[in-house]
Amino acid sequence: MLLRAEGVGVAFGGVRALDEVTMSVAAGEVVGLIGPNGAGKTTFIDAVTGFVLATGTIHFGDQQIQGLPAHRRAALGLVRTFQHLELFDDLSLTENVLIGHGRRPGGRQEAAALLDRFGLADHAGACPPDLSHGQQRLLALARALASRPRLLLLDEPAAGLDSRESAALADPIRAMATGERAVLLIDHDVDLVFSVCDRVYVLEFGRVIAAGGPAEVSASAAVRAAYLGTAGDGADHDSADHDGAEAGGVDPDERQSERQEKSP
Amino acid sequence: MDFLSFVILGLGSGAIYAAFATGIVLVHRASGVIHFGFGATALFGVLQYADLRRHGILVLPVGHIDLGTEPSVALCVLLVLAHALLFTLLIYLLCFAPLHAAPPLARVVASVGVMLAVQALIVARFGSAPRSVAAILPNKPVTVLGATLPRDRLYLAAVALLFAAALHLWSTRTRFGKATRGAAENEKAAILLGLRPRWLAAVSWLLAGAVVTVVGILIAPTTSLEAGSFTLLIVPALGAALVGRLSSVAVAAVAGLVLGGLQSGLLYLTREFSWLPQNGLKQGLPFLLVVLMLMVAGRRLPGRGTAQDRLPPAPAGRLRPVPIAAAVAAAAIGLPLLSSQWRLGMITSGVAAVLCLSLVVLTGFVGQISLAQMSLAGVAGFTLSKVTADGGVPFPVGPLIAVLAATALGLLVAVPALRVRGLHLAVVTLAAAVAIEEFIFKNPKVTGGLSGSTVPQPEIFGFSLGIRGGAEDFPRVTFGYFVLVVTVATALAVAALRRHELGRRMLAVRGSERAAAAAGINAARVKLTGAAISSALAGVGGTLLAYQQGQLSYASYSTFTSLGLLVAVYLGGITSVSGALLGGTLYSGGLVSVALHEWAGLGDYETLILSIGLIIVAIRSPDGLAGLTRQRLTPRLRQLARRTTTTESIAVAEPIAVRESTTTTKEVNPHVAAG
Amino acid sequence: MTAALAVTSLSAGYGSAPVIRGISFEVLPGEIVALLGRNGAGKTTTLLAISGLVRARAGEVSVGGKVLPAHHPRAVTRAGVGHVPEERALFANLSVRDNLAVAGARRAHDLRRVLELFPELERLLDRRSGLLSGGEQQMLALARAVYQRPKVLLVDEMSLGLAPKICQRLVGVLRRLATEQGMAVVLVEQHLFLALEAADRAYVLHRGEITLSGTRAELAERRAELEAAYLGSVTAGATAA
Repeated sequence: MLLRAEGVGVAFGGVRALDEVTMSVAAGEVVGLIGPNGAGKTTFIDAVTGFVLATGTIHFGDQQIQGLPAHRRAALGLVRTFQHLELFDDLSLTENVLIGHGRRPGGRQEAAALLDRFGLADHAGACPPDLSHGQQRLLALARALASRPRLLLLDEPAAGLDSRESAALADPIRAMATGERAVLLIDHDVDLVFSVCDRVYVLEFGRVIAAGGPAEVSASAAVRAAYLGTAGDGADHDSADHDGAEAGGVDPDERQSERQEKSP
Repeated sequence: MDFLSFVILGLGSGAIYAAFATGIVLVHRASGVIHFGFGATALFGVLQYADLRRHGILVLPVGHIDLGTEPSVALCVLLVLAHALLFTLLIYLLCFAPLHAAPPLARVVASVGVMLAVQALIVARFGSAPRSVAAILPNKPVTVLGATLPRDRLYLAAVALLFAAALHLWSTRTRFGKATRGAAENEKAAILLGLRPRWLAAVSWLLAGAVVTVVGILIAPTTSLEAGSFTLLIVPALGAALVGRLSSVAVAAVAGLVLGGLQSGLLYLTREFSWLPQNGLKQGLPFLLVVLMLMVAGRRLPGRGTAQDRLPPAPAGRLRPVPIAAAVAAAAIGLPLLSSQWRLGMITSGVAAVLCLSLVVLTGFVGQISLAQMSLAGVAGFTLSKVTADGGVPFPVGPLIAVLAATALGLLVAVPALRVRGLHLAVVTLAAAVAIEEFIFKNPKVTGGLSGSTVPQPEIFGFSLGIRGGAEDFPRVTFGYFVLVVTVATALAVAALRRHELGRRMLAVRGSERAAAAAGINAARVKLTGAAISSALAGVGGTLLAYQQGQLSYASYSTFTSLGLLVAVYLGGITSVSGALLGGTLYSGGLVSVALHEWAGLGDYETLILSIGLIIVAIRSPDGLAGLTRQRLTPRLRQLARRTTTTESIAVAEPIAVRESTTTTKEVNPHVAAG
Repeated sequence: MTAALAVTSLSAGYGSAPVIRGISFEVLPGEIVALLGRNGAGKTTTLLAISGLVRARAGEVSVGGKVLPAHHPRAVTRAGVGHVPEERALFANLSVRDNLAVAGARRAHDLRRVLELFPELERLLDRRSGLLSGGEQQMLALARAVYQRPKVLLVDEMSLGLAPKICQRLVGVLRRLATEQGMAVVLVEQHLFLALEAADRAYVLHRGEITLSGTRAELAERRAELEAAYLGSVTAGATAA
């Protein structure tokens, strides 16, 4: 297994945002992570990449990475993107990609190749604010790939894209998981997730409520309940009664600020 | 007199700290600004009061009113108070209300600008002659436990506490006070409940203005009044406000009183125990307090949205050989031809440009704020004097040691600064500047006292590079060339840094520490590297300044010079080399000052003009003057870029509509961003 | 009957691109209307544009037949629109009591009016609102908005992160406000079943436009279509089969 996260928990104040989450990703796999708003998906990426303090154990390759700062984990090949992109607005596209590339030689050629691959070569000298939203999303992918990830954690790469653009992302994402490299994909576009992922985990209230292949998961009643709400006829699901029932109830802004405070 | 008497005596300054701290808390809570200018505005009111009492003349920022008679104390206080309220309201509405959603740097800069502008206004309107004010509170001594104590200090403390208590009740018990606190915390919620956040904030500013003015007037008889006497008292007040976590008026006021008492008590101790450092302990205390509070409680201090921590864009640092060569040639030809006054202005501009470059690296590239850059320069200057005058170290080695000393101190300051951000970084560096000034620069053992320290002229292979030649030959053209070479070299180095991989990492950290970390960048290391480079540049500037002056006094590197430097470089453009060069000409004594003196006869208003310019730039064009030209250009370039974007559609990335998503809607809302 | 809230051809967005395009709908007094749709469909933006927190590019909003001035949040509030935003927008550092006081509920009998709807808040009056649980925070947010007796209440993602039991309880309160006080409620809801249970009518947004609308009964018959709007075709197809 490339990534093994066992019993990962994150608490913001008294609220448990992640509760005993266990998940694994193997080399060459694309694994999806879905769930309603506030279920703890981004918090899981934060926990794995070192952006938030977490309990439990996380192994990357054969290395236990709990306690390593975020930049060290990134250097190991755990590379993430951000929902809010967090592009470097002052740097040109080439420079943005070069930041991901780090200090290895041959950066310029590789950056040019990556920009070309995402159809951004014509804007190499421009800055991110000059791009359309869709192009900005592609730049974030290019920057992440430049860091030579072994596991790429994509946080809503299709946010703000329409269904056609979103569908067009499927092949590039699939192509990213080759050989030793794996992808963990969070997205709200369930079609996209089910079409590219080998396996899918479903989070609700900070807990894994379902896992398995796309077909299996999409048929699961728990998933439907999580997304659509409990039907009036009282279709039950177990997370309703446990103590962490309001885990997602924390103010999203507050969670955001907690994350930022934790930023290394 | 014993310890207790000293402590009670200190309640006088304690009262003014308490009042300022009250004001700082009120205003910060209401509008997210740390206002450095309360000392200056209070002093303006006090001086007004002094002149009104003595001559019956109400001096206004522009013009004055002659009342003809000697008005009563009550009338004087009333008139001054009315003016102070209006003045404070104007400051809020004109300077800070437009900045409510601006990045911290712009708010800090505006706050510094207001402080310097009011300070300059005081000099322009009241001159620098000291004044005294007749006692207002009864000051017959009272004997307590065998110690004779001045009664008025106790009254002052009581007044300060009374104000704080009243304001505390106001903010915790009344709907208005609660609404003010609520609106400061979450502007969007306040708007949705039908409140008017801007209006609530204005009321807080008014209350703050009233408190500092009234306490200022009451304390006036116990201090000497001259331009500048109150202005930096804001530092201990900041310490007290931080003890109150920038949110509790009552705690802040009590902390202010205690701090005043302790400082005075320390004075007694230094008198009793000769082994204690005789200098700077008094000012060291607030610095320690500020550092302690920010280290211990920094994270829990109320701050405002970190999402806005952005700075003006840093241009790519492309070198344009032709304009550069032209400018260098013009300077080289101009130096020998200019009159000595202009030549000196040019030399000062060059030296200041190097100092400005240090801020370009620190603030423009790495995104840190420093109000103590001249302190680092000063450490280099005084080290230079020590090692060359006293130690006899020859030219290239002496300055090198001086630069290393500045770099070392800069790193020492930068390590704790890793934990502090934005507004708080401004506070801690301001406190550091004051502490270094008092502790080191004003220490006669270090600096040779008021006579200053001498710096021997630089000389290499028997060839003098110094500024002083014969009686007629000042400033020497050779020194001008020396400065020119250093300025050009450092400017080119900083431009190269911008294009270098390290510069990229700096800008990445400035742009988003999270994304930088996700790309494997160690943000702490980048910040420390930036601080080291910036301090070294400050050291280079400091040694140049030392050579230029030949004779150093603490005034060359005072806290106000640090603030002046920030004004200059922000006006010039804090994110670019060209901005730093422009900033150099704007620094006090630079080409712009010479021009104001020589051509416009406005020399006395130099600081006033520049600081008002600063406020305008902070509000209007955060890229500074150097950015204005770019601003004109970039929109066109962007248009061009867009056009190419739309015509050459790309498989995945055609022009895409930004739609509602967690990215765009919920947090990015320009109108409620300050929440 | 005059609509309590009428939205006509409303368009709004951020930056260069529109998020909602020409949205029109009405809510009658005493009616609960749900806005449904996937993440990013434009639901929240619609509410923000009504409140004037996001500048509308075109279209108008009228309350009780009177057209509101564009982009003037205070005028909207004064016209009787209450808005509980998604993040609940409490004053986290103020106590529950002070949060209510800022909204105007200061005297004992004012509080009684609030506590009658949300008795749970009584024992929490002196707790800092930032320390409340998600459900309690939502109650306080609703209580604060409702205290001002709005004619129209906009509630964004009320159920976000809340356990179903609490959601049911809050829906009950909204229903009571609608029937007893004739309040018009606009509910932006992620949970399809909850929304269908709570609302009299619903509009479905897709990519910034209304693609489907109808009464509860009408929509219940088109459940597959609705589920597709939420889950995407794969899942909906699987479950419909």
